[in-house]
Amino acid sequence: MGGSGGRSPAPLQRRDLEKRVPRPTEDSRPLRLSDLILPLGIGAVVRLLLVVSFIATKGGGDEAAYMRLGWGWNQFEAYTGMWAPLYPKFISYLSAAFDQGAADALRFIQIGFAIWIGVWTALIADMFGGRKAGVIAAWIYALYLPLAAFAALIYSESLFLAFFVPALYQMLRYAREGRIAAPPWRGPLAGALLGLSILTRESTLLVLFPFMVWMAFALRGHETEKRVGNARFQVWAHGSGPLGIAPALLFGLTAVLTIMPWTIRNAHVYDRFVPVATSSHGSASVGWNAADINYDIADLGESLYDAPGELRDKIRGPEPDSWWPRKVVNTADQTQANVQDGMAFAFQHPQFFLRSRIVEFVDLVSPLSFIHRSLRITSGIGEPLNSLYLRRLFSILAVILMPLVVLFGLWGWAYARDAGPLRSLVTTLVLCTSAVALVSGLTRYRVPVMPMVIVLGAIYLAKHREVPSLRRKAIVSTLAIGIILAWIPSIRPAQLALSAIWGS
Amino acid sequence: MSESDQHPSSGHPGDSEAGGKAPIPQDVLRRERRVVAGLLAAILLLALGGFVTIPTEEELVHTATTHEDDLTRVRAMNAMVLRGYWKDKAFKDFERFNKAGPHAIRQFMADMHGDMLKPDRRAWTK
Repeated sequence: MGGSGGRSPAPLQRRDLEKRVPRPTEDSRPLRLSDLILPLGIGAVVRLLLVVSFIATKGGGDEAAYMRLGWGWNQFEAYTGMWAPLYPKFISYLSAAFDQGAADALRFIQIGFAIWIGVWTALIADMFGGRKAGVIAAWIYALYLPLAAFAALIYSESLFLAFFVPALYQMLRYAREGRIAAPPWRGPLAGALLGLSILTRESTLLVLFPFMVWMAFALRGHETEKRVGNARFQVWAHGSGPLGIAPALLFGLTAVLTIMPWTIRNAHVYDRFVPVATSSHGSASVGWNAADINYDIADLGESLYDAPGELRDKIRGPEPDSWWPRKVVNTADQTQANVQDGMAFAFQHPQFFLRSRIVEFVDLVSPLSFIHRSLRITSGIGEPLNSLYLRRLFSILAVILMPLVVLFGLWGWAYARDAGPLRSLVTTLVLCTSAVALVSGLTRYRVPVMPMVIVLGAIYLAKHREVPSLRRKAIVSTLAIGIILAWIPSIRPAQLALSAIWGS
Repeated sequence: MSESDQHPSSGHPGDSEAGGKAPIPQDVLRRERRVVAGLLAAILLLALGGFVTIPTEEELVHTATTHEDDLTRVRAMNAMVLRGYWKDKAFKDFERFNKAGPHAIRQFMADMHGDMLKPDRRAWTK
């Protein structure tokens, strides 16, 4: 379990360690909530305008399905859906309280979630870049329209981030405080919040083990090594001590325990081991298959199975024959069957599979975002977004902001000073998110990463920088070139999407 | 404590007394181990308890047919549907079962599993 057997002095007492609250910039006072009132207040107004525009609209597809599942759960005390349960459960409470007004109540409450998420985003930026970075992060978060839009949409992202961003904060804080100074609840709280995130969004299960490994490394070594100087902020800099297995277990087991009651419920319902949900059968049959289905832009192509864009067609090459999901009796077995068939398809057509993964990556980093889709397909959008001028301005700003924030985030990743734990955590998160998106890439799937991209960008803009190593420079340059190249195939779909919005 | 105490001039751990390789106190390690053991025990107990109480199909049918609480019957019916119990049965068996049930089950099926009420649904193979 943890480290022992040091040579020198007696163990430091917690009170000694608590006196040392290292601040990244020594001349800055700590971030106060009052510093965030203006940026997050403006962020709330932006979201309020979006919510007002979408009020009383009938969301199609998944939005309608979420509402129906929540209504049914309230009405019959039974959950019939394939998705993770917390968002439908939350809607079921609103359905009980507001009946037909549940969707609008949800949208207004999501403004509150957005402010909550903004506070934690700013606190993470403050932890590594000081007060100025915290305030800048709050401003970027407030004005970053692709994220702001989720307040008005009935998708689980708002609730998910309300758990996930505080979970990331607690993990980073734990790594910073170390095992002696951190309160005993820090690791378990991080785990419980991650567990709630997983119960809101099934794919988050994928980050659990990598995050445990991160924690074991981040809390590695002997306590006093890590608490001295800048070295304690560089994740591997505190040396060769034993891994922090116990903190990793505290965190991971609490997350598992949080999920567990729902896993047991699934065992009772399906008579199978289903950790969270059964939604991956859809991702496998769509993503690991021949047709070019992308729900961000599906309505712009000739058919649902042929997303628009000549360049993406060229990258994908000729399509092999599609496979169709087998009919299986138990709903939970459908997931296993589809994943197996999808993998068999990948092995049969390795070249097409790899080429189509490039297109999934293109979709993941597309400058479009989910709000562009909603603006096109949602009927009855009211003031102020029913004004053509405002809709044009909004949609073009949303397209411009995404590349800007991503590029600043990339530079922040390379240049942020004393941000080792942050850098390694974001890297872990990006890798896991890409793995999910490479099954089936949607702009919505990058949402877990974006608050951290904002944090890194804010640290860069706050000039809390260091000269990066050559290796780090090479990584960030390669990534930047890769992402910029990946935007090229999205130009045509983006043009089509914007013309559809502007013409409507 | 001044900032200089926190940041030894060399920046290398181990250069000062505060930067020595002191072990993590035993009480911290003991506390961590106790909580980890408690979490593991809770997970194992929950898993065991959950596993031994998984209802069989027969039990679900029994609950959906006889339980005094209508919503408990609905939940049993939901589990039967999701397990695919009805996919192995003829449509008329399902229809008979559905009609014999309380209003709550019929309403639940109509509102949440409406496609099963159609005899031409592809899932019905018998």
